[in-house]
Amino acid sequence: MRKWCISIIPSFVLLFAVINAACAEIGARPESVKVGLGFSGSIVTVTGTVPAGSDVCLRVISPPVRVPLNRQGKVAVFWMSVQKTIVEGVPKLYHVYTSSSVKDLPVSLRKQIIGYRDATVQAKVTEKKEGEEYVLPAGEAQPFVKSLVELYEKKGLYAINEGKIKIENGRFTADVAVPVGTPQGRIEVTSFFIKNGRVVAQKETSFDVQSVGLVRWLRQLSGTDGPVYGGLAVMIALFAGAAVGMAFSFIDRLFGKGRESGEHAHAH
Amino acid sequence: MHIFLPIANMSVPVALVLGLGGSVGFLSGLFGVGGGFLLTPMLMMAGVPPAVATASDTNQIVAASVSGTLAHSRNGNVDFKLGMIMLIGGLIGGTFGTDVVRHLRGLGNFDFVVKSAYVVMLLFVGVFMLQESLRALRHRKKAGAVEGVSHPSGIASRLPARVYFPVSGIECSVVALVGLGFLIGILAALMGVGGGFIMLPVMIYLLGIPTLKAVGTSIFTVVFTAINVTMAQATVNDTVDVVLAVVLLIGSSLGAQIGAKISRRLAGEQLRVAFSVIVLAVMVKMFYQLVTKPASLFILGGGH
Repeated sequence: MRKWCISIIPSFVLLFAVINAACAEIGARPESVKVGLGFSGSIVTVTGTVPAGSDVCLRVISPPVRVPLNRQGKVAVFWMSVQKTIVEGVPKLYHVYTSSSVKDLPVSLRKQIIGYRDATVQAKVTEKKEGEEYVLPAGEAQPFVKSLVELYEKKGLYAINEGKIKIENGRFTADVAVPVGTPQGRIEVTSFFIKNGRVVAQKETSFDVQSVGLVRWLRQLSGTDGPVYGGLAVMIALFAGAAVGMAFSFIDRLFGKGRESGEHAHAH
Repeated sequence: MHIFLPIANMSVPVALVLGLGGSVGFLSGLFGVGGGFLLTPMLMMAGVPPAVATASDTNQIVAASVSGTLAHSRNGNVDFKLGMIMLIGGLIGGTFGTDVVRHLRGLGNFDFVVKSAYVVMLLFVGVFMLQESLRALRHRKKAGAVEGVSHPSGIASRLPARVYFPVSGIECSVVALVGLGFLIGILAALMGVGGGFIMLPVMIYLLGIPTLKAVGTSIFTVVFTAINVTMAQATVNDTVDVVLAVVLLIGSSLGAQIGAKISRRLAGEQLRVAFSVIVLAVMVKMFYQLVTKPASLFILGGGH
């Protein structure tokens, strides 16, 4: 009987964890963020159920992008680009939201988040020199990756938002920022449910960032048919310039006539 | 109110872009320059990526210069015959310059080379114009307000194939004009600008074209140089942001008209003094940027 009890306890613990995980649900609204001409950032509300007595940590991450990054150096009295690189494998958007303080998170999760470590773990820095390209070793690549993260942080694309998740009646709510500059594509949202210093459940959801209307059409045309796009740009400029020119010519004639008739009236 | 720029992938206040376009367009109409050398740094200060700023600026120069050309042609200040001859050289120079750019980029620090060239050229043009215009102003005070007919000086006067240009009232070598156009075409491709700020002093001081005719004719040729560069940027680099260009050009087209109107009320020497001061101010700013430590030692690449 005692043996039976000992063997069944882990099964209950496992079952409890599974039930807990099943209880944790997550969803994002809206499911698609539309980037049009009026876009100046947006908010996606992520909600879900929370296992009883748990805290929540959300990680919002975009697909990685390829970015050219140059290091400036002093040559004689001048500052110029002395090292040209391409940084790959780093997501352009990385936000963390927590319901409690970051220091209350489990050590393993905290290690991932502090310094955006899991955002940069796949980073690859390739130096371009005299037509050749070679991958920098981790030590040399580190300052580039760190600077890129700082640049993204300044633009609001990287952030850790402590205590920004509300938990009420067993449900959590977080207003996830989608700043200008967020890359198009699927943004992954992972929720970690934490209890007694351990992650007891983990759930994923996602939302899309897509350009629409004129923004979408111009981006597609620019990317796929440069000469047509250039021709369109020139035609718009020619038309607008000529239209303003003619409008002012009309105003000139109008004022000219006005002055002439005024002078005429004066003479009489 | 903000507007999203699809190629720059950023949102900017409409009033800021309109204001920048308007002020540079005003200078464009006043002095007969495209204004690219002023607007590009301003856009970069507003956070627009350098490559997009350069290319979109060139696009809006098309509109500003068309608007300016119409305004100047109404005032009889565009010498179309002279301008067309310069354009022949300009188109050849532009094509040649694009190859030079590709070659220089392959060699290394192209950005620094271009910025240094800007500083040297702006210093030369600014000091030369300031000296000449101040001297002319002093002479004018002594001798009265009579502006004499100018003639080509130095090497320009000794070149063959001379043609009379009735609108400008000068006789000038076709070789000199095609050569100037060729030089401007190369510089336009190298620096991503219309080239008016270099063309203007050469037309006034070396070819002897009266100031207002030089202003009108140079802005006419800038239309075509800017079209050429816009097409090249859109095809090669995908960096022309039409939305940014349109908002800029609304401001700059209006500004150019107002500038052209005011230029009629100012004497040529006054225009030259003001222009040379602006050129020197831009030169000082660019030189300062080259010798001071940047806020961040790492910058996102791309563009000129």
